[in-house]
Amino acid sequence: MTQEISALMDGEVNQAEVDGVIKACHQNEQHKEAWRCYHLIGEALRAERGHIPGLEKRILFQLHSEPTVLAPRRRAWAPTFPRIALAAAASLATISAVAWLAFQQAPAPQPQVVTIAPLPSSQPIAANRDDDFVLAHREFTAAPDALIPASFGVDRSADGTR
Amino acid sequence: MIDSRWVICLTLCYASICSAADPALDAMAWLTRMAAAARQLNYDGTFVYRHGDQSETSRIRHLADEIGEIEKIESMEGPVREIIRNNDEVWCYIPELKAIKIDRAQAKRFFPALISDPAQHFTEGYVIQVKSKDRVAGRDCQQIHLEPKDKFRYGYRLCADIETGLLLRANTVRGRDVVEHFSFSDVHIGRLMVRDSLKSNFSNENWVRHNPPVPDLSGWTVKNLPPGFKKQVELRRTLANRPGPVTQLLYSDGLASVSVFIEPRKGEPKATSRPSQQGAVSFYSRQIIDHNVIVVGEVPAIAVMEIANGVVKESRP
Repeated sequence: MTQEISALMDGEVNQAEVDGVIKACHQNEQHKEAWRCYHLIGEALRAERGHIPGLEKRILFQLHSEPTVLAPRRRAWAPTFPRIALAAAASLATISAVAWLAFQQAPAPQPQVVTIAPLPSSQPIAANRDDDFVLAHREFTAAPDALIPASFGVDRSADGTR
Repeated sequence: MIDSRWVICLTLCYASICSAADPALDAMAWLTRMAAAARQLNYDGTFVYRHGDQSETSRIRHLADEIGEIEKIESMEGPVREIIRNNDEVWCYIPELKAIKIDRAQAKRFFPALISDPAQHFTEGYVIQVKSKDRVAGRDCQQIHLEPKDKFRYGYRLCADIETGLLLRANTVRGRDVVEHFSFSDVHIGRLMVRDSLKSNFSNENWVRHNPPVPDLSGWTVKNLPPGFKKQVELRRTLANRPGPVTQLLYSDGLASVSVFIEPRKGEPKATSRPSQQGAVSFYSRQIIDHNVIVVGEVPAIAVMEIANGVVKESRP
């Protein structure tokens, strides 16, 4: 029937058959849908349909917003042998690590008192007390110097040097 | 029947023809793409950070998979440092202290993840423009400029990888001067990585773990913040060489961040100083009632003064 609908739209159906095709479109949901769809396509091709405001922009924005994901997916068909071997290795490591941790933790818990080693001279040390604030702020910036431990004074005071 | 894909294809062709029509939208899309790329891609590279007269080189490896993000940053110069970020948890290894500093990554970001979502956030403080193309680390990149709308922030010159959207270079500029500079010297994007390769180099047994400072609500706040600045986090923490705990309020406009520190004053009030500046960082302190207020941030001096002057204690509910 879809061919007849298409033909009807193109004016290529005999006058005698027109009634039948229109009736079919009217009564059958599937044919009705085909009728609508063909008209939509025709209008889109002839650019008759009023365009949806902002649609192109929205599509374009979405396209541009998505990074091109280059991270390769793990291949499903990769030979299973190495993976099984890896899994075994990993679980062995886990077991031994857990055992080791249990062993380490068996003695009395270590007091959390810290002896602060003198900072290496190459490290930019706070030249004056205001620099502590600069360092504490820089922990929240993207700068890699954020690694400098600003709040390690905690332990100094815990040491009794307050 | 005509394939509906044709219709989509036609719409897209039409869309791409119209793309040049809205440069502001295009710029926003680039920012959104940069934010997503830094989170979603695998990359492995070396970047240089210059600030004032200091320069540091670090290596970054970033992996994104179905579990989430993991990232390892190692210092290539000076003291050995290592950061492992596992989604929101940041572990910083300091070998000479045998210490691990643990932080929450809520308000923390590392290059190239400088841009945070949503990109719309930036329009309050900046005019965003797509500029010419350039090349960084051997890759073609698109320059995006963020011009400050007022005197409370610097400008930013970004260059994002054309193929993937990853930020390759970021300059903070004051007029024509570059006050802060991040740039990949070498980067591989999209390589297969295994999580094991991003583990710490250190066996950290018996290392001391320092937990992150606790979030707090002290009742201190800043009135009349410069446009676009929003509070990110508030902490109560102990700093080296400070007599007692300090309140830290962190504000950001999406790119620039400013910390406000408040501590009870001991001794006589000092005369309020002029703001000082080093590289991109401005510093200003003042006294209110019986407290010291210290404001630090990668913003012009006028901004730290303005923010310091807006600090007030709100009565607790």
